[in-house]
Amino acid sequence: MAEAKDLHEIPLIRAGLPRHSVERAELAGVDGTLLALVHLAPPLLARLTVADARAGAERTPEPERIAAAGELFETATLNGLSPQAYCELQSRVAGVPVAVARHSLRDVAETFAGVGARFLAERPTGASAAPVPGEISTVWTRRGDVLAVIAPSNNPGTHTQWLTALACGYRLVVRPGTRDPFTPARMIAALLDAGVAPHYLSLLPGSHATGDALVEAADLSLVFGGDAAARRYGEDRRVILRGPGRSKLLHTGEITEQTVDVICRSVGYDAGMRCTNATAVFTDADPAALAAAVAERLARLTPAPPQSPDAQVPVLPLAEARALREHLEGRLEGAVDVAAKLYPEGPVADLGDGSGALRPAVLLCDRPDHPGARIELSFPCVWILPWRREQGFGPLRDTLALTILGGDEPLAREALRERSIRKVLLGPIPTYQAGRTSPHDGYLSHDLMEARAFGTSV
Amino acid sequence: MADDFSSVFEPPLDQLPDIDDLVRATMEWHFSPLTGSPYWVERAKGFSFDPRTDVQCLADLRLFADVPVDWSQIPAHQLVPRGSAPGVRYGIYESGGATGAPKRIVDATSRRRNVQWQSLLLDEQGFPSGEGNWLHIGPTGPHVMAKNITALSELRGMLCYFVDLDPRWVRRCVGEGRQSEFRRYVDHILDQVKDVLRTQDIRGISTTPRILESIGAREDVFTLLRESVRGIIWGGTSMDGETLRLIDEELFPQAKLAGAYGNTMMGVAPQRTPVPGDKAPCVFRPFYPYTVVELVDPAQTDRITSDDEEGRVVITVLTRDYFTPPTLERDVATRRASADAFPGIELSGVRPYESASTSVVEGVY
Repeated sequence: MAEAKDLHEIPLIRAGLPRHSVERAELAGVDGTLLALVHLAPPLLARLTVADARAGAERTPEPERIAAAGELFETATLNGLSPQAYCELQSRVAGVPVAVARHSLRDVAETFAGVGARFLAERPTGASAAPVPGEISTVWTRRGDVLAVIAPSNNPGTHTQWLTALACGYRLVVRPGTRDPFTPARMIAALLDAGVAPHYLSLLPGSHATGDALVEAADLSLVFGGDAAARRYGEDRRVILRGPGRSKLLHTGEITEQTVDVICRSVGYDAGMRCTNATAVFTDADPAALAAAVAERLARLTPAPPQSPDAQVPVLPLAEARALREHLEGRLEGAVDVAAKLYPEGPVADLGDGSGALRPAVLLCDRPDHPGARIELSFPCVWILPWRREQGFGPLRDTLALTILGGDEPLAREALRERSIRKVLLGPIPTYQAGRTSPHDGYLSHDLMEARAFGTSV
Repeated sequence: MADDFSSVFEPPLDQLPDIDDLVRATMEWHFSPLTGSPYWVERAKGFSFDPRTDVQCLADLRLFADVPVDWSQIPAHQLVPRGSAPGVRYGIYESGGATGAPKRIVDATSRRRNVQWQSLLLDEQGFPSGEGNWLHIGPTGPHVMAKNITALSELRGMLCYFVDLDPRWVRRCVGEGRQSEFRRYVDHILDQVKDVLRTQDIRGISTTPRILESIGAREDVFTLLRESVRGIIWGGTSMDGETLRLIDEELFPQAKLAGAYGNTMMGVAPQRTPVPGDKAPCVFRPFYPYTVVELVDPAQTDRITSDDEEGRVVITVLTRDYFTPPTLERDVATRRASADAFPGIELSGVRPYESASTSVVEGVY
């Protein structure tokens, strides 16, 4: 491998220590250029690393240390990469527009800084006081010591979720997604530089088998993945699943400029690759008119190589981009892509370097129970469905984030009674917006911790 | 058995025969109505060629390209050569069935010679012998492994204990996604291993990579084994280089590790003693010329790959006990130029071939 020395190398991190592996994989950008060399951990190393993580002494990092790491993530050269170099590499391999990684530098730093406040907000007030001799009180304790994280590659921000676990005192072993080992590697480097104890942080790039071994060896696991992951781990009570978001908007009343604006931002923000990007819009207005307006606006999103500051939609190797579109064509079941006619060169923009950008799709459906509302694809792709109030919330189940447009407050209260809707926003608020300590899909710490009683005599 | 064929089928192991002499002897022995097996003699009646006259060298075996053999359907007793001396005891051995119904072969003494040869390589590698006992954790029953390991432990002056592992059950559990059942089965095996380790003096073991890994995850068994074992033979499935390194350096630093590639059909290709400049941590040496391994381009199977190129495994077996014409196997491997002028090829990086049409479930065995 003559060119190997030019590639950015990502060692695996075993209990805080960078390690080389005999097994490596080359990572190419979406245009096919070789960019990185990733050291791979076999399943056995997952077991050994969990044992190393478990063996170290209790040293839960203080929130201030995590906040300091956030600053390093945003500003420092880590793993030989300046913030800008990291953003470029991440965008070129993951195919996510570089603007996403750039604003994520700040967002991630803020999440790091806010982790202490989040931990306190999530802790039950009954467990907040230090135990007093002579009283039997409540303590907030971990359910285990080692958390495995099977991470995704869709958006750098997703990784900030596992920071809460670090604040809870879990030792983390992260198996990154194939296309983005860069973000967790940078987070871990920042945390180690900030002085977090080495055995609290491991990074093990590897196969599904490595992931399985990790899930088996760890006490609890946070697994990001689609329906396949749900089938694989759904029965395992030690696994916290973060599946597809299937986020939605519910619109009643007139179609205004603001309606279209909030819908388009919900669909297209961060290139439509977040679980909180909208997958479907239900409307009691004219679905065809709404779809046409949304399509016209979304079609303005710029297709460009991911490292270009202009890029606004995801890019994949051309064949993969086309395969994804074909997959969509095969699942239309009568829905019509009203955006397609706006792209004379086709819905996949051939960028001429072997890659293709996925231009937005707006799929007009003729019935509220059209299966499209459950089909979440990793690009701006939205299904527009007719809805009448008497149809209720049945079609809106399984929704990570729901925005209700049209100001109907009783409707929002009703939505809160449907448990499978995890966040309800009333008013012109895009689906991806979140409060500083609001739950993403419940409080993660409530899956990681439990209240137990502790008492001492005087 | 001493006859006209002994000088090619059973010469001393340091005087291996010329490949073309062996090919001619194999054709004569297996296809002559006097000595050949009922299966081959009958089958040859339908050939468009006469193996005894038209096959004069290794390359001529390509004539068998139009002779598909379904080893899973042959009544195995028909594979026993008629010329076998009275009193020679044959056994029937079955493959694990990773690629369909189990295949069957017969063997009397040929596999033992393969194992003797393996044992010579183990001597060269300083693998333990003489003191303590052996434990095999792997397929026994219908599988030839038990016979191989019995021979090997005898040759190394050790008594052999067995803990059985049924590869077909493992494959079924994994294939049906029954992970918890599979784990329970592995624990059942490890409990038995623990009992042997606690009460017997075990210095050498033979098992699969997956079982070694599982032992690493069971503190009670691991502590006992790490303490006592001085030699480990692994085989049955592939092992990546990093796992090999971890097992060697971290789990069992006091034990000699030796790989063995092979299967029921091809026999044992032991790990060749490493030499400076090896391009892979573990290089296997098939028992040439009795087992001839070729590596071919998976997309164009008449093209033989070059050194250091990956290819799909083709095996040919030329022994007194049975004959296998060139057969495309399930594995891919990287071809390596052989060390110290050994006449056969060597290979590394063995793994199951994955094509769109076949799916192989690799389990513990």
